[in-house]
Amino acid sequence: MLHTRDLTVAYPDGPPVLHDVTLDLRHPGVHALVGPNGAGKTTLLHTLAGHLQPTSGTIHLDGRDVTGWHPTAAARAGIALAPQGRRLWPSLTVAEHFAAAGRDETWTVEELLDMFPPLAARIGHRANQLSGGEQQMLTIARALRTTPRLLLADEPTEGLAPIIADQITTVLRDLPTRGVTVLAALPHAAAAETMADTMHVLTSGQLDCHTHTTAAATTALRRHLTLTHASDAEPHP
Amino acid sequence: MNTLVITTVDGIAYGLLLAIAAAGLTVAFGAGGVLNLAHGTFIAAGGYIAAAWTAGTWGSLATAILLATLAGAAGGGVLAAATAGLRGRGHLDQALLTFGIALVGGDVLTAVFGSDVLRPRMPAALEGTVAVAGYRYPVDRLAVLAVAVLVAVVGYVVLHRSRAGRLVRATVDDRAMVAGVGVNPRTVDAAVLVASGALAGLAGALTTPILGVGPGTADTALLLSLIIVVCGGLGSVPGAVAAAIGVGVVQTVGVVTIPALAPYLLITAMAVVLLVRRRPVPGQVT
Repeated sequence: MLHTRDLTVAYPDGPPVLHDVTLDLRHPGVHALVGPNGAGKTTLLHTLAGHLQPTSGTIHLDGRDVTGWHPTAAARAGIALAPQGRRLWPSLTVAEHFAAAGRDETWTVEELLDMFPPLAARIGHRANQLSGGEQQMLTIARALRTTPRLLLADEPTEGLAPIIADQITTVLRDLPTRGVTVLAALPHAAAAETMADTMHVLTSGQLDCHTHTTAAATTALRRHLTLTHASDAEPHP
Repeated sequence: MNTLVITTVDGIAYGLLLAIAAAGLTVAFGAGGVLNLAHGTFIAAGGYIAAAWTAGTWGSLATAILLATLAGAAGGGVLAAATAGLRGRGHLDQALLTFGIALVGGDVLTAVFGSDVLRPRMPAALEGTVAVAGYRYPVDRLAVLAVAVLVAVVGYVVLHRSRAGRLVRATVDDRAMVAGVGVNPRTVDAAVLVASGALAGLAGALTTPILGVGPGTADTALLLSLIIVVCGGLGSVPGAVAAAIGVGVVQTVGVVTIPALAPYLLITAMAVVLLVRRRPVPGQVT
């Protein structure tokens, strides 16, 4: 359903952060983008959501070329981003987030509150009054209100208590049954194992391997770390 | 005592009118980052239209208020089109452009309406005074107060109970995430500028029966609006309303109680507010 070919992304006046990333996501399913900090996971998700423009390469969603689309158009095409840091609207209540983001009633407020019960008790509270876990739930719920085909979740369990992280993992795992494919950026393979069907290992802005097993992903990450350390240890001429 | 109570009510009424004018300015800045220095000109245009169109009948008064509001909205639309290409080029470019529009607009208004201070011809029922809680109070001011309260309530309901209002507040908070839910923030910017212009035109029409309208109206209205926006916190509507009522009361009570210091009171009050206030107010752009 999502296909990127040779995607290269650079920030203004900087070197490329992503190099020739080619990615093919099966629909429906849960896919993990695994890599260490600075690997380019967030850059890739923001590029897919239209917040960053690629310098070269293409992005296709369901066969349609969406390369370089504005985030508004990408959202309408069915790509939703649950960003790292949540990026909620602090002056809006939980209910107002649902109202502002809702394009139709594919995902009703009642369904989302059933999915995330803690939000039901906080419906009239502003986003900046919520706990970290509640904020993460609202971030995913807001994204679902846009009726996505593809949900991009950037470190969705980062910094959360294990019980809350488990709740969110369960929700993300179940989304394919509702026709939503998930691409979640995660820092290590162990976190990805419980959530995803496939893992795509991203190191230094390049896709290293595509695998179904934690062992293969971990091996790829360790190989990258070993190479990085070896490179750092070499005396400079 | 009688004088002070009436003056305070006057100040609150004036403050609410200023709030209607400044609310649009602060939201336009908060949502779209547009520092609109032509805002005072829209207010003056509304005032001139009200003064020119009223003929002492209810029908002409209603038409004048409607025309003033529409003229302001049209001005806001022109401004939205003019500033759309300047996004991302900083506030100075926008300020220069809107200042230029203000200068041209001011000259056009003076050329069309002359340099005298004009006042509207109100229906006979709005002339004279009425007894309220033992005090005599001018009917036209009471009517303006009622309309100002009504507009403020409607504005609050739109901002807090409609999807459009919520998207405006969301755009003030984080415009990229508004794009992320499929709504173009530039459309929100344009809508806010049109609504802001409409409110400015309406405020100009409502202020004219009290203050009249003349060549100095645009500058005074812009200065007061900017003071309100700065004191209330950039982008904050509740802050703007509170600051506007404060400005209205300080202005009117100051002129009556200590006329010699009246010109300095407002600036002194603004300096005190800025020095004392440390925390951002709700909705403020930080």
